[in-house]
Amino acid sequence: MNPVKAFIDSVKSMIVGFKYLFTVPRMTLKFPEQKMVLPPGYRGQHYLEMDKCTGCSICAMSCPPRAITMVKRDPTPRNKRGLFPLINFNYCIYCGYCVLFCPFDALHELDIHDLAVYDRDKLIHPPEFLQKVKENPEILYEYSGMNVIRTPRWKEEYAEPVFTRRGVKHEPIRK
Amino acid sequence: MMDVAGLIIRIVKYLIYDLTHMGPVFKAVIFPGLAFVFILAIVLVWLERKMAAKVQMRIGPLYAGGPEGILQPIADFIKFAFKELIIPDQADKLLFIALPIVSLVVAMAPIAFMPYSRYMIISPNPYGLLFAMAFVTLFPLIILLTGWASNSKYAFIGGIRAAYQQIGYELPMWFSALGVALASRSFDFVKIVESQQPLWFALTQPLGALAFFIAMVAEMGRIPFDIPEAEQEIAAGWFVEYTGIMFGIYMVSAMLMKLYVLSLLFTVMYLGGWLPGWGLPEAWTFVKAFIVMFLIMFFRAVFPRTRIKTFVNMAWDKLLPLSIINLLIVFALTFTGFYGGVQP
Amino acid sequence: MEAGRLDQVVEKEIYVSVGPQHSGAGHFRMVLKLDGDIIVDVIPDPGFVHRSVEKIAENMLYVQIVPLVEKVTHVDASNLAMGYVRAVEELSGIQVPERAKYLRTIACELSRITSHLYFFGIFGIFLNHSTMFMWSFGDRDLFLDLTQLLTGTRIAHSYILAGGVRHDMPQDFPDKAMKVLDYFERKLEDYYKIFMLNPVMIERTRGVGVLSREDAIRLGATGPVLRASGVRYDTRKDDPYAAYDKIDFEIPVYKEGDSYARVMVRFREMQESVKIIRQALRDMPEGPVRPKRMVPRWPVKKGEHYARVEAARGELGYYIISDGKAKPYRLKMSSPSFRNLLILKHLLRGETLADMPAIYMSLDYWAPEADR
Repeated sequence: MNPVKAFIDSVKSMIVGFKYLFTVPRMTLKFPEQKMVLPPGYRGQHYLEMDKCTGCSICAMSCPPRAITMVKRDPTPRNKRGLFPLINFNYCIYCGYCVLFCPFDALHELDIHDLAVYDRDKLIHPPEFLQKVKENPEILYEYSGMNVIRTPRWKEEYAEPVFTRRGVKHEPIRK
Repeated sequence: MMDVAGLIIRIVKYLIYDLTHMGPVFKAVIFPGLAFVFILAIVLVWLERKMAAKVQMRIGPLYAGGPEGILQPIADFIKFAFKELIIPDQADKLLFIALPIVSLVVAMAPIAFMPYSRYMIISPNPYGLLFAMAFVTLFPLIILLTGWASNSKYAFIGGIRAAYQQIGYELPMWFSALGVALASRSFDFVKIVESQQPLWFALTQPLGALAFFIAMVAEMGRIPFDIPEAEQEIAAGWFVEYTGIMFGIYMVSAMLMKLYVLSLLFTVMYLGGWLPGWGLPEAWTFVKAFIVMFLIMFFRAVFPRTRIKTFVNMAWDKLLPLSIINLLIVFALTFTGFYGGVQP
Repeated sequence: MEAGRLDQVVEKEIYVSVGPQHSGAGHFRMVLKLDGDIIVDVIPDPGFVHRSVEKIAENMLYVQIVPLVEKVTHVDASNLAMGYVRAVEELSGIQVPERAKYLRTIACELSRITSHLYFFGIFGIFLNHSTMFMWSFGDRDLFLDLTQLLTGTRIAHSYILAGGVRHDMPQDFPDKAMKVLDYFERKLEDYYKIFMLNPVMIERTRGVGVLSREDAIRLGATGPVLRASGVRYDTRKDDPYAAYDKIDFEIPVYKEGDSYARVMVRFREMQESVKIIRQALRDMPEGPVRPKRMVPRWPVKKGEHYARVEAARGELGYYIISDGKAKPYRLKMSSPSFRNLLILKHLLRGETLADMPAIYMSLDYWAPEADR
C-alpha cells in the first residue's frame, strides 16, 4: 500500500474522529434516571379483564412457551366453567399471541417491561392480580418486593424522544 | 537519646527546608516525581475514557464521584485491590509475583532523568538520554518474562509477540535518538533542549521525529500497535493470568507510565521541552507532553490493531531507512554549523 | 525447573483453544493447531447452543413455531420468520394481501440492517476498533426503535404470520422511518471514512482469507460471502418473495473474495436496504394487511414443501413435511451459518493467528443459527 495515501487516509479517519469530539450527540439513555417513551402497541406486562373472559382457553392453547395455565375461580355468568388464565412470567416470551388470538379481547398488553424480582414465584401472576395491574401498575412492584429499589434515588424523567422534530436524537445540531 | 531526638529534629528541619525550597526530596516525591505522576495517571485514565466516549457518542464514566466521574480510576483501583489474587499452579511463582513490581520500577525509572525545566529535574545526569532509553528498552523483556512465568499459551504468544515487536521498533528508535544526540552534541537532556533554541528538532529532523513517534507508540503498546495484548486473538496476551492488584499494577506500569514517560521523552527530544522558556517553563513542558499524550490516546478511537507481520515489515522497510536517512542528514548538517552554537 | 517446562516449548505445533469463553469467539469453539504463527489446522467444535429447534417444532402448532425459529437468530428475526411463513403459505396456498407484502419487505429489510449493524459492531471490536463497535450498536438502536414502532417489540418480532402481518403500521411510522433513514445514509459516510477507508483496517483485511469463486461454489457458501467472491446470487432476485419483485434494487457483488470484500458487500447491502425501505414506503398500496380474524390454527394442507429466503447471513431454507394435522410432521432448517462453517476451515488454513478474527468474523458466523 502506498504510504502517502495511507497517511492521508489515516488523517481523514482522524478528522472524522475529531469532528465527533466536538459535535457531541449522545445516544446513551441514562436508564434509571431517564426512561424511554414506548410506542403504543408495545408488548409488555399483560392485564386481564375478568368480566370479558369466557374461559375458552385459546390463549393457553396458542401460548408457545406454555406460560399460561387455566385456573379455577368462581364462575361468572359469562364464564360458566370459571376458568381464567394464570400467566407465569418466568416463561413468557412476550410474543403477544394470547392478546392477538383472544376472541373476546379480554387480554391486553401494557408498556411495563421492568419485571425484575428477587423471588421467582413472584413472577407467577394469578388472574385477579392480572386484573388489578391495569388500574394500579405499582402493585407489580409491591408484589415482587422491588418497590424498595424503585424508591426514587434519582428524579425520574422521560427521555427526550429518539425521533425529534429536527430528525433523530443522534444527529448533531446544525447551526 | 538526645542524639536521636536531635537527629529527628534536624531531619524534619531539612525536610521543611527542602520542600519549601524545591530540593531533591520535593522533586522526587512531589512535583516531577511520585505524587504528580499518580495524580496525572488518574486524570489520564479518566480523560482517555471520556474522550473515547465522546467520539463514540457515549457519556463515559459518570457516577463514580467528582465532576463527570473523575474518581472512576480510583474506584477501579480499589476494585482491583480487593479482588482475589490467583496464582496459577503451573506458573513460576517467584517471577510471577515479582514481575509486576519490577515492571512498575522499570517503567517509572526514566522519570528520574526527565527534565521539566533547567532545574526541575530529579537526577541531573550528563547521560540522561542513554539512561532513559535503556530503561524504556528494558520493558519488552519484562513482557517476555511475564509470558514465560505465566506458563500459559496465550501469555507466551503475547510475550513472543512483544519480543518480535521490539525487534522491529528498537533500531529506528535508537537511530532517531542518535540523531538528536548528534545534533545537540550531548546526551544531557538540558543541553538537548537548549540546542533546540530557534527551531525544534521536530522541524529540523521531521523524518527522525516521525520514525521515533511511530516506534514510541509501538513501545507503549497502544492502539494501533497493541499487538502483544491482542484481546481478540490471544485473550489478553501477556498478562492474561494476572488478577487483582497485580493486574492493576500492570495496567499502571504498562498502560500509563509508559505513555507518560515516552510522551515526555518525545517532548524533550523533539518538541523543545520548556522552550520558548518565558513564564513558567514547567508549564510549557507539561502542555506539550499533554498534547502528545492526548494525540496518542486519541488513536484508540480511530484505529484498529495492526498485525505483527505488517508492523515488523513496516519497521524494517520504512522506519529504519527513515531514521538512517535522518541520521545522515543530521550528520551532514552538523558540519555546516546548522545546529548552531556547538561546532564539531 | 518445574514451571515453564521445556517440553511444551520444544513441541513444534501447539494447540490453541479459541472459544467459547474466549473473547475472540461467540458461542463457538475452535481449536487452532499452530506452527509458529501459522494456522496448520482448525478443528471447529460447534454445538454449544444447540436448542433442538427442529424437534421442538414437531410438538408445536404451526403458529407457535414462528417465535421459536426467530429466537435462533434474534438479530435477524423477521427474515427467519419470513422463510418459515413462506414455506407454510406456499404449502397450503394461503393468499397474502398486497399491503402486507410491502410491510413484510420493510420488516425484513429493517431486520437485515440491524443484523448487518450488529456484524459491523462485532467486526469492529474484533479488529479492536471500539468506535465502530459503539457507533454500530448505537445506530442499531434507532432501527430497533423503528422495529418496535412497527411490530411492538425490539427483537423477536413475530410480526410476519401466515396470511399477512400482525397489524398495520402506525400512522407516524413513514415519517419517523424517513428521519432515521436520512440520518443513517449520512452516517454511513462517516462509517466509510473511519473504518472502510482506514489504512490499518484495509491492511488487516485486504488479501486476507481469499475465497475464490470456484471454492465458494464448491463449498456451498451463501449470502454475502458468496457475493463477495463474485457470484451474483440473491434469493430476493432469483426467487422473489414478499414485494421484492416490484422493488428496484441492486445486488452488490465484489470479485476479490477477501475479508474486505465481504465487509464491503454488507456495507453496500445496508445502503440498498435503505433504498428498499424508501421505495416500499412510497409504493405501498392501501388495503387490508391480514384476514379479519387471526386464528391460532393455520389451515396447513398435507404435503411437503421447501421454501427459501435471503436472510442477512445468506440463503435460509425451510423444509416442511405436513400430515395435515395441527402440528408439522417434520421441520428442517437449512441455516446459512452452518453452510459457512465449512468455509471457515478452508480459509483459516495457512493464515496467521493474527488473521483469525478478521477471517472468522467476516463470515458473520452466528453460532445459535448453525447449532439450531
